[in-house]
Amino acid sequence: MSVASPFAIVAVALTGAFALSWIDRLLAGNGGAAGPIVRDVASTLRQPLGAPQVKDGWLYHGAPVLLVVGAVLALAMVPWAPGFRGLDFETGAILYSAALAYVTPAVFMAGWGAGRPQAVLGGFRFIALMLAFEMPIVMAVTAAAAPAGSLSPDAIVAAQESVPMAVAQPLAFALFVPAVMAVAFIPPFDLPQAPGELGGGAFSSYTGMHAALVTLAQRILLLGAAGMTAALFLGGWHGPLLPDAVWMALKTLGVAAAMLWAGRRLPRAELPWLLSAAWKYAVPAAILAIGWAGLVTLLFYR
Amino acid sequence: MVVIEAPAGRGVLSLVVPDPDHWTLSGVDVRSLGYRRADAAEHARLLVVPERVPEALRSAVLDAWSRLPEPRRFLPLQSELDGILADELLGTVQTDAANPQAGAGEGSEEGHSDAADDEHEDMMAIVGEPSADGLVMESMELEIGPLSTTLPGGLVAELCLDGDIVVECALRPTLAASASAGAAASAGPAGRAALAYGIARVEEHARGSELSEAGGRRHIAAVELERVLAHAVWFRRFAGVLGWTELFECSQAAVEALLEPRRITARAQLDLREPTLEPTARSLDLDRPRELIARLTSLAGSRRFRARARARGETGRLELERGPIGGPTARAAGLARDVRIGDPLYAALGFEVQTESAGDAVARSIVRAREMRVALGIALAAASERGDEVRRPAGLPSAEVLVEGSCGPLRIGASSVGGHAVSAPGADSLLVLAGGSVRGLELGAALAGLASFDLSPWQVPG
Repeated sequence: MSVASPFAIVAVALTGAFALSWIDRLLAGNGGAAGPIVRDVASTLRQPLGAPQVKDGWLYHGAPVLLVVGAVLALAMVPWAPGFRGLDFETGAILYSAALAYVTPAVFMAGWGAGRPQAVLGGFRFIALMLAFEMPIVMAVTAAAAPAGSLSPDAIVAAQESVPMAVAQPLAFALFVPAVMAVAFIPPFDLPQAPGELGGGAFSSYTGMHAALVTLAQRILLLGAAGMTAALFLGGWHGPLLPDAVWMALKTLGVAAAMLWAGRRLPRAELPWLLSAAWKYAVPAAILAIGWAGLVTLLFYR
Repeated sequence: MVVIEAPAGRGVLSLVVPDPDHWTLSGVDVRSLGYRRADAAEHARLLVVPERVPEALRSAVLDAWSRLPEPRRFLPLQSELDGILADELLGTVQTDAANPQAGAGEGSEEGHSDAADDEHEDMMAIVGEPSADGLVMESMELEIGPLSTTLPGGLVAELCLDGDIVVECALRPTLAASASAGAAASAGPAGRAALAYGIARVEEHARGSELSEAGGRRHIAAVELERVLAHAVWFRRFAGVLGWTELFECSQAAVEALLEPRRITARAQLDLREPTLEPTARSLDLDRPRELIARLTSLAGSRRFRARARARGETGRLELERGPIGGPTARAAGLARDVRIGDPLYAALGFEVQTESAGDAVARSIVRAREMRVALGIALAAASERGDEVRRPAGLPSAEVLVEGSCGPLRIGASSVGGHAVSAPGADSLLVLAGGSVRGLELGAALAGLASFDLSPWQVPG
């Protein structure tokens, strides 16, 4: 990892968050102008840091920071081009899900720190979501890594030079995408905030910089989820004509746009149904996916 | 109330109290002004108030104001705000309607802090009855504000939770119509045209005659257009509760398309109590609303909707048969209760009662979607011909009439102290029914179930 890497990660995070906000506006039919996004951010940052009466100030004020840290850590595992990534670990694919684990206490801290019933409920909801979906994520990652014989994201991308993992392992792909969407708590998995039910839920008390950090973290989580999906299942930077990083960026933004589009088309998932689907169907399916990965590896990758 | 966010770049977030005469966005497309919807008073910075705030909403306005974080401001829609309310909101600080950046709210921070402390004490002191497994259940009060937001000035749901499962739910409307507000407030925001129709019939009966066919057609056109609009607004807020952007945008488009006739009416300065809609009605372009209603009907019957809303707020036909509840709730459970049944004028205009059998949120949504289609057709048919202006003698003069509002029947009669007495048969029973129907559901599902009933926050006599 070079000295410039932290700055590169932050630059990718901020640029990607802006791009995702722009895509979201396009999908909402609000036009493609970038000015309103900048103005929204500026007006949010101009708001004073709220100081509502909260139950635990340390948890309440620390939660947005930890949320951003966890999101950036997860993003740092995504390989953008050969030799161009934030953190280079041989187990980077698994470390991605480990980085996501920082998001769980952050969301719960936000809810518990605020101390309001709806906020605490939002925090508990997210814990339940993460517990349910972390295993499918890890198993899907393992399934994608098996043919590559390595947990290094670079190696997994390299193994997809001819066939993307989404084609070779459709079950793992189908499990990974909704699971990472749930961890990024974007619609239809926005249960921690649930605007229509909990009035903002775990993040309802945040204004000003706090609110900006929460929004930024959510965008970065989405960017990381889309990037890792592109890297593990859609061939990463492989593609004709264009430079590697451009292909990776296009695939990432395409996946993110698809996730945002799905969020607009589907009603918010209900927690009991989600948990039931995760524990009763997703986890067993993930085990099957690993078995399938082994078979595919033996037949085609060795 | 409607909470809307700031227009981009203007740096303020807004909370809107509806004008008592317009229960949607007053015919103004605030999105064209750059505003957009928000979720909670805590995210608002600016309180926009009309010239006349209903008495019942004053406390809600002050409560919402106390939740706005600093710096907070308010903007009166008219040049002068009710002096008493202005003093309560601002103390001695004057505001300039032309300059919403002027002025700052004072006071009530301490009250807010005290209230917040109390809320936190309640939150952290876990007391209550034990559940079947011996763990203590928690009680909490949830505000189901107007349009199912978390704002004050609406219903309060007193919930007892076993974890996140609703064990008990009691609903309490918080808006009380004062005598000075009159019958209009009692009808709630969804029944003003129906109320006007009923009052016109009562007054004709007092004169010993029936409303003329022409008068009936005019009123029915207004009542049915209001019904379509009411259901479209309901779909919009239900979509908000479900977190479904596609349904929200479709219903928002329907609301805007349906408000266009109102804007035409308002520009022509027509009085809906004595509507003269013929020239306007003939020029109404309702193709767009018709398309959107078809789209809403399709979404209400979709697998996505059924998967999300099935069995939410389920009510049985037998329990409804025993009580006085009418409206879409009864019809969605298979009971063909509709005041319009048997009305010869409605029959001539093509009225058909719409029923479903499941009695859940899906059934209520489908009934409303179909009623929108039928109501639109009735409104156009009513406005397409003038009818004769002859007032025939009343066959059986009665002191009361029943009119079918968008939420259910309204009973209007002459009041012994002057004015009119308005009641909503079954309204109280509906609150009890709705609260009982969500027992055993997870909180989110319970809120969706409650939202599907289209409950009134007004304390209307039953």
